[in-house]
Amino acid sequence: MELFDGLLLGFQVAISPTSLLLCLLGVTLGTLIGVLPGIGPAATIAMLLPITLALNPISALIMLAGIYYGAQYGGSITAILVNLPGEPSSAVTAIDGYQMAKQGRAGAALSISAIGSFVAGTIATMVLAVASPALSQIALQFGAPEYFSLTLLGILMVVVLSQGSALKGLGVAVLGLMLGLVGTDVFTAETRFTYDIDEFRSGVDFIAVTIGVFGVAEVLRNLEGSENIRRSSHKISSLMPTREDLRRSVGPILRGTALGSVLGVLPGGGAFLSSFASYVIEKKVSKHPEEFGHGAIEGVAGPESANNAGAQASFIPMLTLGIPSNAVMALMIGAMIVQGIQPGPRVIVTQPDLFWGLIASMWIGNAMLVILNLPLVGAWVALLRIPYAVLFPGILAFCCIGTFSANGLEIELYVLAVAGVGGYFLTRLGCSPAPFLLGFVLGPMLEEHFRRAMLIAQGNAGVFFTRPISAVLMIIAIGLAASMFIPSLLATRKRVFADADE
Amino acid sequence: MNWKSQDVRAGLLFLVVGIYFGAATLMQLELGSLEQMGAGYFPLMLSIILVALGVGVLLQAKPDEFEHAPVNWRALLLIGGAPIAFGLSVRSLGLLPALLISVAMAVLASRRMGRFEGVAIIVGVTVFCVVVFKFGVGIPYPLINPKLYS
Repeated sequence: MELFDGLLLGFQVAISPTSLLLCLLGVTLGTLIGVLPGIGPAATIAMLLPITLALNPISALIMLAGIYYGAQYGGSITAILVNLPGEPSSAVTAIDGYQMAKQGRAGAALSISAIGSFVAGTIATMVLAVASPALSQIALQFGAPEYFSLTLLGILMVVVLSQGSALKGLGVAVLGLMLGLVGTDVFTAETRFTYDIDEFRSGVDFIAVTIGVFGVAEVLRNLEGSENIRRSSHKISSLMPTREDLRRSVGPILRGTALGSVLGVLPGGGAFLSSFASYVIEKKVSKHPEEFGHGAIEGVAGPESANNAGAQASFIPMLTLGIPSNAVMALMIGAMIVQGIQPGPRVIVTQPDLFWGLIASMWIGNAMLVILNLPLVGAWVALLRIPYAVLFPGILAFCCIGTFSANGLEIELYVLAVAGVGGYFLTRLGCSPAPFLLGFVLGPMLEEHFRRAMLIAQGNAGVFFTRPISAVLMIIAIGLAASMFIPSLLATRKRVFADADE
Repeated sequence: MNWKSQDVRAGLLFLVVGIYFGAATLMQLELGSLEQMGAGYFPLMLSIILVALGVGVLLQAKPDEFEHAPVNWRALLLIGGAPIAFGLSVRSLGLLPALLISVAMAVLASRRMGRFEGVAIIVGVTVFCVVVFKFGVGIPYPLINPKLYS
């Protein structure tokens, strides 16, 4: 009955006018940025963090979560109509969705994607409600060694699963960890790497760094290419899918949901991996694999359900363990810390209204998104005509004033500038910013757990392997780390051998 | 070794940062022992790992797969400078001038902007931000520094 009581409490919180309004605002903004290419959920959430400081923690998280899953819906609109995925997770949808649009079946594709997303969102929200309390019960028994192993594993998984070279990803994560160490050492009260700047005593500001790395750096990246890309959209005739469409979509939607719910929990998983895996599986099980790539409705239904389920499920480790599984979840953790909530398994116990309210609001938000998306799709498409030249000065202004309004310190604007330019150059070196942010957020925790574990174990590093839960986590982490080196080692060897043959 | 390759540059970056961070730790912070760790123990561990990763990236460096668009230095300077200009002016001049200056810098970063269009965007974005932050969120900073007109 605990689940029932929890959900009841959650709906009481989520149904209040403020929560409903902020949920609507969140999903609308999410759809908007999902539709607009060149600005993603991470940048948007970072920019809006300072505004949410004025709200109470529950309202703030409800709105920020809405932006994340709203972006999954919005991204599919442009993927289907314009062949321009607004979000990476919609890239797979564009393959068959755009073909359907070309055949004049854009309406059916949009409806199926909205229905699939809603079904997936509903089921994944239930999974979240059931799995989280159980997982947090286990996590409550964790000591410092377990937390250290878990945090380490989380960082490694994000690195392995993020795009690009794993070694470079790891390096960027260490850079993030280092930046996270700036400030006063909690154990000895010594200041570290502050260079006599008083404002750095409490650490480099999280908001300024994230807005810089995701907001400003993204503007810089977008200004590299040509600014005027013409985007033309296909017409939508009827939104109603045929009975045949619906029949063929049931299986993919359910399979996609299951896949997303599982993969979303994994660090580094989330929406992108889920949608990709779903497409591959649908193509395998389909009786008509030849239709894939030429407008197969299964290729829209599966990935769209999977990416939404994955987005919802990635909240599970964030809420129960305090471990973010991707950049957006790292921002949510940051938002909780800024609001004075210590993320971790205790959140469910100490803040039940926040936990259940967030879950209930996600379901309500998903329902809102179906309404927002289907009848209003024309309005969203019209937004595509806004040229980037108009958008980015606004984005930049928001970044500046948002950063300043958080604490009212000028130095944070200088941090913003450095983080923006630095983040931009990192991506030019082929390093993705997600591991950096994760390292930055988790750095202080990783060090604290490590030092505490060593204090308890009197300097015996074997403690990570003698405690069973920690040992399992460590073995997985070491296996992952090893897997990063082996394929590239093999590839290097192959190259050397190939050279020798010539 | 191709100095322009992404991998080589990233590896060198890790190497340099790792060495600097490690040296700074050794000079400034107490290391302590594994049992009784000082403020420098964990940072030193990180520097050693980063140096190792830097060497690893350098050893595995591959040539770039495709040519990158050249850095848009004009945009970089103006966009990177906008937050700094905002920071320098927001207290001395006030919120409104700070916004106008930083948005104008952003607009200048775009090469294809008509004069009329540019001014319209500067005014529009500034008004929008003032409405959202000053009247919506209610941030406690004056639009124009009162000292300027008293």
